[in-house]
This record gives sequence, C-alpha cells and structure tokens, in this order.
Amino acid sequence: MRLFIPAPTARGWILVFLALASFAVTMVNANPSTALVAALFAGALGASFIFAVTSVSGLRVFREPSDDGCCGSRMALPLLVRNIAWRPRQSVIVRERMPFVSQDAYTDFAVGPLAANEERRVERSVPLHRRGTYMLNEVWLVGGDSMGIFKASRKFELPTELVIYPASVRISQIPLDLRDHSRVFHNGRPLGVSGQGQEIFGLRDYRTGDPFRLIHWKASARRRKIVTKEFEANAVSSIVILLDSEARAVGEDALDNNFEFIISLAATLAGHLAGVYCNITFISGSCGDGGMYLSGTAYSVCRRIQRELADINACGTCVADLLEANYHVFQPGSLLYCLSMTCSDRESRMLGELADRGVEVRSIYAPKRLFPSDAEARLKAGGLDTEGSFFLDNTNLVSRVVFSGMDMEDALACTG
Amino acid sequence: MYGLSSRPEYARAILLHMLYCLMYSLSIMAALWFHGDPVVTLVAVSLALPVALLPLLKFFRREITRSTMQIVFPVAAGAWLIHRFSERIPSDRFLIESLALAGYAFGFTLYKKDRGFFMLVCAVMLVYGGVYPRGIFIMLMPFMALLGAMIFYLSRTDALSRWSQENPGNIGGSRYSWCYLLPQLLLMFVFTVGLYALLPGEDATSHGFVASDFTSKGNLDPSGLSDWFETSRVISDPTGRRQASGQNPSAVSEHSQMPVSALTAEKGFSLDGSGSSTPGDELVFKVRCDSKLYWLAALYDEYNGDSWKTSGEIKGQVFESSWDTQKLYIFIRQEFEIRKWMSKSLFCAFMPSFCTANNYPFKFMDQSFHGIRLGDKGFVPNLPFIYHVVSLVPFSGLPATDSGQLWWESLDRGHYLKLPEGRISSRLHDKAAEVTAGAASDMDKAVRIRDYLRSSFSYTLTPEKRLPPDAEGADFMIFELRSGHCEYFACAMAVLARLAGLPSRVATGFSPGNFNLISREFEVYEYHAHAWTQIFIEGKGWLTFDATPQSAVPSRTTPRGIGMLKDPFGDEWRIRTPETAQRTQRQASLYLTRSLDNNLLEHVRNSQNNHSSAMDSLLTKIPADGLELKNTVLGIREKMLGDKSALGPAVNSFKRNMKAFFAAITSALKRLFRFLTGMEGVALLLAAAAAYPVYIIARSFADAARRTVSRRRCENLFDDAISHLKSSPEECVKVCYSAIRNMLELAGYPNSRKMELFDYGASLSKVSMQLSKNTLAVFHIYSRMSYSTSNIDTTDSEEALQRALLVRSELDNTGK
Repeated sequence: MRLFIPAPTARGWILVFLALASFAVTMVNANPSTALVAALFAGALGASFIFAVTSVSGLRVFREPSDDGCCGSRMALPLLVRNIAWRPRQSVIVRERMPFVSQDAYTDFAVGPLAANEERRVERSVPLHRRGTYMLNEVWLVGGDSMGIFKASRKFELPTELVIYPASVRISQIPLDLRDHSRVFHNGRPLGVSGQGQEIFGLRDYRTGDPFRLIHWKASARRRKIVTKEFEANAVSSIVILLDSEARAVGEDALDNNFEFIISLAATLAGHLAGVYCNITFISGSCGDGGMYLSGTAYSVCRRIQRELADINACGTCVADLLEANYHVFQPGSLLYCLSMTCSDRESRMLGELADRGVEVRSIYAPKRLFPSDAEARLKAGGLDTEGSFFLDNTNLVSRVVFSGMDMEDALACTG
Repeated sequence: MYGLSSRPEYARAILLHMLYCLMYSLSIMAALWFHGDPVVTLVAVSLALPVALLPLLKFFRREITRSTMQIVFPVAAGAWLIHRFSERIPSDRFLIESLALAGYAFGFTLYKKDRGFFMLVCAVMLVYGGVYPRGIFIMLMPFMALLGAMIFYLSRTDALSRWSQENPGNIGGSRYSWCYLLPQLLLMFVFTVGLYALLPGEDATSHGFVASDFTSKGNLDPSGLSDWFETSRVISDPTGRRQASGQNPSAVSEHSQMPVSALTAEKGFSLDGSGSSTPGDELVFKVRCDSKLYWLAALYDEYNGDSWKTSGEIKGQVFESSWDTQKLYIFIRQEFEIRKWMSKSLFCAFMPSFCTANNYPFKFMDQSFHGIRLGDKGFVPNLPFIYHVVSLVPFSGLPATDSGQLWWESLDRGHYLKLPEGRISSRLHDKAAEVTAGAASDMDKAVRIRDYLRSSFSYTLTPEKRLPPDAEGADFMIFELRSGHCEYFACAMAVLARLAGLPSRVATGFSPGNFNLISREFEVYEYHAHAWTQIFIEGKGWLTFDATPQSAVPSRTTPRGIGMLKDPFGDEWRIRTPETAQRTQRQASLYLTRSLDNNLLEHVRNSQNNHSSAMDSLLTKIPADGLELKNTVLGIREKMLGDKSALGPAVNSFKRNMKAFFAAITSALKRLFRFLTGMEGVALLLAAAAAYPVYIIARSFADAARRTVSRRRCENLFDDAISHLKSSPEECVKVCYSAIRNMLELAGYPNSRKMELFDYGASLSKVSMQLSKNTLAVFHIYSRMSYSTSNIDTTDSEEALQRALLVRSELDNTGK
C-alpha cells in the first residue's frame, strides 16, 4: 500500500495556525481551558493527517473514449475510477487541467464513495470555451480525511488528444443565389433558376422543408443518410471563404473577440456548405508558411477547414494581402465571403475590382471596437450598424454588414 | 442563486448554513457568556436563529436585501465598539463583542467564501474564550467539537476542490463514509486527551498575555444569570456593594438564628453511632487556597472512653507569634466564602494566625489557635460571607535546633498522651505495640497506625451495633465492630497514637472538598463534613492524620473527566500528610519572610522542585532586623511578581511551561517504554500480534459459514424450481435465474462491475465457454419473461432448469 504525504487544505492551514496560536497561549496563560482548546486543535490535526495518508491508495483511474467537441457546447470526458482495495473508500475528487474550460484551467469532479472492488464511471460534462487542439495527460485524484483538513493527491498519466472546434450554429438556409443572374456561368453555360431546371445538378443532404419527392432513396440507403436531388439552379458552384487573421485587428478579450467571431462564422459557413453541392476554397493567413489554402468539394474539405479553424492563430497577414496573393482563385460566377476585421481602402478597392470581374462579394466586417472586453460596454456597442452598400458602378455591388452580437443566420442572410 | 444549480445542492447549502449559525452562537457563548456585556451577548446568541432562517425567505434572496444586512451589522458593531470604548472597559472585551456582532455579516449568504470567514470568526472566539476559564466553556467544548466535525464532514468535498470551481456536489452522508468519520473522531479524542494530559494546567506566577479573571462563574444555571446582570450594575453602582440576590441559606433566612449543629465545640461528639457527617449535598463554603488542607472547626483533646471534649486548658492557650516563631512556619493564605451556615465556626486550616472579613468587625470574632468563631455578641452576617485567614504550617525540613520551637503550647506533651484510666484494654495496648513495632521514627509510627486503620476496617455511616455503655470506643471499633464512620477512625487513631507515645488529639471540620479547575476553588459540601486526628511529630509539628479509608473521603477535581487529567494536587496529600505535601511546602518560596540576597533567590527559583535543598539554603542565612527584612521582602516580591509590563513574566511563563511540556512528553515516553518492556506491555503486544491471526481465522470461519448458508440456499432454490417446473413455469425460471446468480457469486464470479446482464454472461467465457453459454441461455429466457410479452411455457422452464443444473455441475467440477 502506497502512502501519500498529505498537505493541509485551506481550512487545514487555518487549523494549523489556530493550533499553534492556542498552543502559544497555553504556554503563557496556562489553564485547563486553553489547554483543552490547544489539545483539541492539535488532536484534530493529528487524526486528520493519519487518515489522509492512505486516502488515495488502492484507487485506479482509466480514461474512457470521448469525442471531440465544439466551442460553446458541452462535452463529456468520462473516466473510470476503480477501487482495487479490500476496503470501501471515501469520496474523492478527480482533477484535470483543461485549458479549454476555464481560466485557471483545472476542473474538479467528485466521485462518490466506492465499495471494495467497485468501479464507477464519472461522466464529466464540461463546457467548452476555447477552441484548439489539446493534449490531455495528467489526471489527479485528490482525497483526504473525513473532515477535509488534509488532502493527498495522486497523479495518473493518461495521455489523449482532444480537438475543440470553433463554435458554429446550424443554419437552415443561406441565400446562395447570385444577384446578377446574367453573370452566372458554368463552363460557359448559363445556369437556370433554382427548381425550374430538369437536369439533376447533384445530391446534397436533406434539409428541413425539402419535398419528399426530391429524396434520392437509393443514394440515401447507400450513404445511410437522407440526401435529396439538387437540380440545376441559379446556384453558386464555387464559394471562397476568406478569413482575416491580422493580429493587430484582434480585440482584447481572449475568449470573446472579433477574431473568434469571424472564425465561428467561417465554421458555420463551412458546416452549412458541407450539405450543399459546391466547391469551397478556404483562404486565411497563418503564422508559419505564409498562408492557408484549402480547396475541394464542400463535403470533403469541410472537416479539414474545421480542423484548421480549430488551431488558427492571428498573425500579420491582412485581408488585402490575402486578396492579392490569391487573386487567381476568384473566378467570375463565384461567391466570396470576406470575413474581415479591418476596412482599409486597399481592401475595398480590391473587393470592388473583384465585383467588377463578376465575383459576388459578401463582406462581413467585425471591427474590434464592437467587441470590447468589458461586457457592459459590449451591450452598448451591440446592434446592427449597416454601413450600407457602396457602388463602384451600378453593376457592382458589394454588400457589407457590420454587426456584433446578432444572430449569425440573420447576419449571413443580410449579406445576401 | 448563490451559484447552486440543483435542489439537492441548495438543500445541502441550507443545512450547512444552519449548522454554521448554530456553531457561531455556541462560539459567542464560549467567548462572552459571563464575560462580556450580558445584553449584547444574549442578543448576539439569539440572532443566530433568524440569521439561519433568513435565506429561506424569498424577499431575502434579493441582492440588495442581503447587501443591506451585510452593512448593518458591521455598522452596529462599530457603534457598539465606540460606546464601550468610552466606558473604559478592557479592550479585549469590547473588541470581541464587536467581532461577535460584525461576524454576522458573513452569515447572510450561502457562498463558500463567506462561510469560511464565518467559521474563522467562530474559531477566533473559541480561542479567546479559552483564555478566560469558565464552566460554560468546558460544557460547550464537546458540542462545538462534534458540530465542527459534522460541518467539516458535510463540506468535505468543497474543501478538497478548488475555490473557483463549481460545487462538485454533496457526496458526504453516504454509508461508506461513516466508517471513516467515526474512527477519525475516536482517534481525535485519543490525541486530544493525550495531549491535554501533557500540557501544563496552571501557572500561578504570571498573568500571561492577559490577566485572566478566575472569579467569574460562567454557568448556564439561571440563578447565576442574575449574578451576571448584577455584576454589570454593580460596576456602575457608586456604593460598590455587592449583594448576592436570590441566594438564601438552605435552612434559615439571612436574619434568623443559627441552626443547631451536631458539630458545636461545646457539645463535643460521642461515638454513639449517630454518625458524624450531615448527609447533605448542599454547598457549605468555598475556599481559595494554594494548598489542599483540612478545614478545621474544633479540636478535642480529652477522652473519657466514649466521647471527646475540648478541655478548658486547651481553650485558654494563645499562640503568640514573633519573629523567632514565624520563621518556622509557612504562611498559607485562604479566602473563604460561606454559602450556608452550619455552625458559628469559621473554618480554616490549622493553625490560624490571622483572620479578617470585609464586612464583619474583628472584635466580634473569637479567635484561638485552634479555630475562629463568630462571637456571641456579634450579628449574623449576610450570605455569602467572605473572610480571609492566614494559617501557619510548619516547615517540614527544619533543623533540629529550630524544630524544638514548634512546641509552643503551655500544655506539655503529656496532656495529649492522657487516656482514661482503666478503660483502655490490654489488647489495645498490644495492638498499638504490634502495629508500631519496628517503626524507625515517630512519623513512621503515625503512618503505620494510620495505614493499619485504613486498610483493616471498612467505612460505614450506620454501624451495626451501638457502643455499649461500658465499652471503650477504640477497642469496640477495632475488635468488635470492625467498621465505623470517620469519628470512630479518628478516635481509634488518636487512642493508638497516644498508646504509642505520640501526642494526639481529634479534630472535626471538613475534608478538603472538591477542587474546581476552572475557578481554582475548593468546593466543600455537606458530605465533606469529617473528623480526623492531629498528631504532633517532633520536627514537623502538628500534622493531620486521616485514618478513614480514603475511598470514603471524597475529593474530586471538577469538571469531571478533565479534572482527572489535570488534578494539580494528586494523591500526595492522602499518602503523606497535607502539611508535608510538596505543594504545601513549596509555598515557602512565594511567601518569604527571611532576608535573601539575589543569588539565593535565583537558586530558590530554579530549584522549586527541589524545595528541601532550597530550604536548607534559606536556613543558612541569619534573619535581619525588621526594617531591612521588610525592604528585602518587598524587593523580592517586586522582582518576582511586580514586573509592570506583562511581557517579562509572560516570556518566563512561556519558557517554564515549554520546559514542563517537553518534560511531560519525555516522562510519558519513558513511562510508555517502561510499560512496553514490562510484563503488561509485552502481554499487550503479544495480544495485538495474536489478534491478526485470530481475525484471519475468524474471517475464514465466517466465510465458510456464509458459503455453507449460500450453498444450502441454492439447493433449496433448485428444489423450489423443480416443484414449480410444471405448475408455474415463470416462477421456475425466476428461481433458476436466482440460483444461477447465487452460484456464480458463491463461486467468486459476481457481477461486481454492474455490467448489463448479457455482457455479464458473456464475460464468463473467460472462465469457460460452456458456462457462459448455459448462463446466457437462462438470462435470455429470464429477460424474455421480464421484458417481452411472450409467455413462458414448460419448454422454457425445462430448459432453464436444465441449464441451471449444468451450471451447477460445471461449478462443482471446477471446485467452486
């Protein structure tokens, strides 16, 4: 049986101080009462120390499988605690460092008393506040005496990797049709209006409200999920998501700033478009190799985009640089979602040029001034502030929406 | 609200809050009861209940209401502090009163941090209360200890987790945890008692950090409450007169005559079997004295064979003190508080030298060397009646040149050797010679006689026979009665001592009484009325010899339990004589009447435990004249006790007590080592070593018995299954299922991991595939019966039974 040297808890330290103080008083004001108080405190400390020494021996902890999670939701990180000793055990605390949960990074969960040879599954449901890839390694088991005066800790090495994806919302619909119908081409062939064409364009995931007659039953049985037919439509075949990652433009709040917001937007877009038959190109800056570029069919590239969004950090690349570096990506008839934190003249000019070329530009601008770290100030800053649209000429249209704190679906709808 | 997300959490928080409030009120009582302002104390204690209930009220859950209350209490505490400060009350008192009020500010929320501060204030008040010893404190300590343990237990997981985390939830209270809490409490009790016995219990030479007032009563007795309130009023009363209202003597009112007592000196006492002690439980008087002595009422020196009287000669003797005589004695100061008049005697230790009473003129007292009485011309003073006496007790280590001066009486020793002619039997003579044969000294003779009487006879208040008219008392008691009450023993002791050539006389009064550790007073009750013998020993003076079996002389140290561990007097006064006990003799260093130089004084201070050598050193100095002596004594007292700052004595006290503490630990460890290496210790260790194998054997027997019972139960189940096979297939399947579960548990394959049934059956494949298959088959039938709508017929029951039998045979084959 291993012994673990216990340390006093907060109340234990207070009791130690009181025991020393009352002992000192007894040495000076010697009388039965002071002696009784000093003896009582010291007796409590002594008994607690002895009982805390073996409080965590004979216990084992195992990590159960868990999935990755999304910011803003809760995730279960179950553990299995087993009592291999012959005697029952008191309740203990399992502690693990989870930087994605809280600021001081440790979360505690209580495990109830265990009978001899009993094991118990601890369902640890934690809220997720930070995205990223995390390596979880150590799990601490904290036990102590019955009165919580001394605590003993035991460490278990249980490595695992966890990916927390950025928050995204499930959107029922994003208007993907282009405003200027005449500008829509597909391999030189103008596309028809949604729903009116006879040609099957492709298959996509079923969305609420889709008619049952459009369900492709064979494909659904094969894929084991319901998919519907997509007809030729005035639909966009190529969508580009451009994510601004300029560090200078990021707000002060570590968890709730404009950068995180546009990342969530990008994740929401990617997630929604995964159910739509189109190509997605994701462009953003990165701190290492000068740029992040992912392209492919929406369904296949969505997961990779989410993975990149989970780990992306702000760097020095601005939107204008990204536009310039990836100018060839923006084809006529494609849709560009520009998620930016800044609004420079160069950027506006380049967006205007893209609009001239036939690219439908939808810009969502989230400046840091609208995401103050102070919650109260944020309330004042919230609300829709549409800077309106500006025309480079009467055929170009760049819609720009500036908002904070509003529903993502509405925001994306506004840009349409 | 309060960050509590569920109803069980909220209920637990409320329960904890109430316990905290109860603890707080007890700590206020421990700190302020009979110490602080009575009104504030009572108000603060009674506030605990509404504070405990307020969080249950809806309107109180609003933040603004709570915040307002959290401001009100500190403000009220501050106002009270200013008011008390202006009254010139000791600062620690009004500070703790203000703290008690202000602390309630933490009692209006259910937040963990606030509760922590609440508990901290409780602990501070508890430590403070210990500095001022009162009975209430000792009474409350066990409750507070248990309550504190319960609070800590219920909030254990909060203490183990981090502050910033969500409450992990209440896990305490489960049956599994009790088996840890109770042993821990038991171990805590053992440690507390052990450490308490090692810690020093008294210090008479230093005020400590604060000058503790040992005169406060501090009980829950309602009659004492009026004293508490009265004290506050008396302080502001310009006359300053103290009255004990509500206290009437038990037998008489304060203005009536004395009751007739059986112990009046004029009457003497006779051995007629009526018993000498009044069988009552009332408090007669209290004594504050540093020595444990017998409290004398009257002396009897003439014996006529059946009764003792005080002769005229002895009454007329007067002790004239002088420098030469005083240097032979220790001055023992006593403060008496008479609570009930038993007689006109004012009790005191022998030999009284000086008596004074606050409100009673000395001229109305009759003082002699053997006692003090209220004169016939005086009035009966009110109760409680307080008077001070200084008694002289001889030094026990006097050199021979000085010891002769201890006999100052005009009567010669022969007066105290007289026995009635023709009344003392020869067998009594022989007995005296037999008992004292081989005694080395007079002291040895006296001790032998005393121990003989103590060990050979039994005590009874109602002897079987009355003294026959022509019989002699001591002879009758020793050879006929073989038992008696204290007067018999005193008489026998005196007679045997006189026969052995030792001057002796009989004394009556009260035995030392019960010593109250808290108030540092002897509490003498009616049942302490007693008779004993005084014997003159050359070189030591008149000493007290109590021949009564000591089990019949009650002298407890209260409060019970704690008193047993902290008895400052021990049993030395019974084994030696009260006058020669070390604690009495060392009073000499505190009441010096000789001129000493500083070196010798230091020597005396450092060798207080070795008092005989210090006394020898003292006696080498020649006493100076009166003025020089007075200056020297004053200087000594100034050095020892007159240090104006509390720090000097406090530091000395700290050092001294630390030495005593470590000495006590060393002594305890030595005693433990001696015990362990002695017969008893070895026997104990062997018994402990043997206990484990006995436990193993007993456990194996218990397991075997359990297995036998389980096996029989399985057999019965099979019989039951067979009987239900055709008549009730469902019952048969149920029984087969139970039988299989029992057999698997008996074989050591229980479902310890609480697996789902089929998973459990599948897990048995590790033991045997066939076993697993058969088990699963029965589980399948059972599940179908329990959860599906299909009926179970005899085919199913037959298969279940068959499979169960196969499982049994398989387990039997594996030896399980």
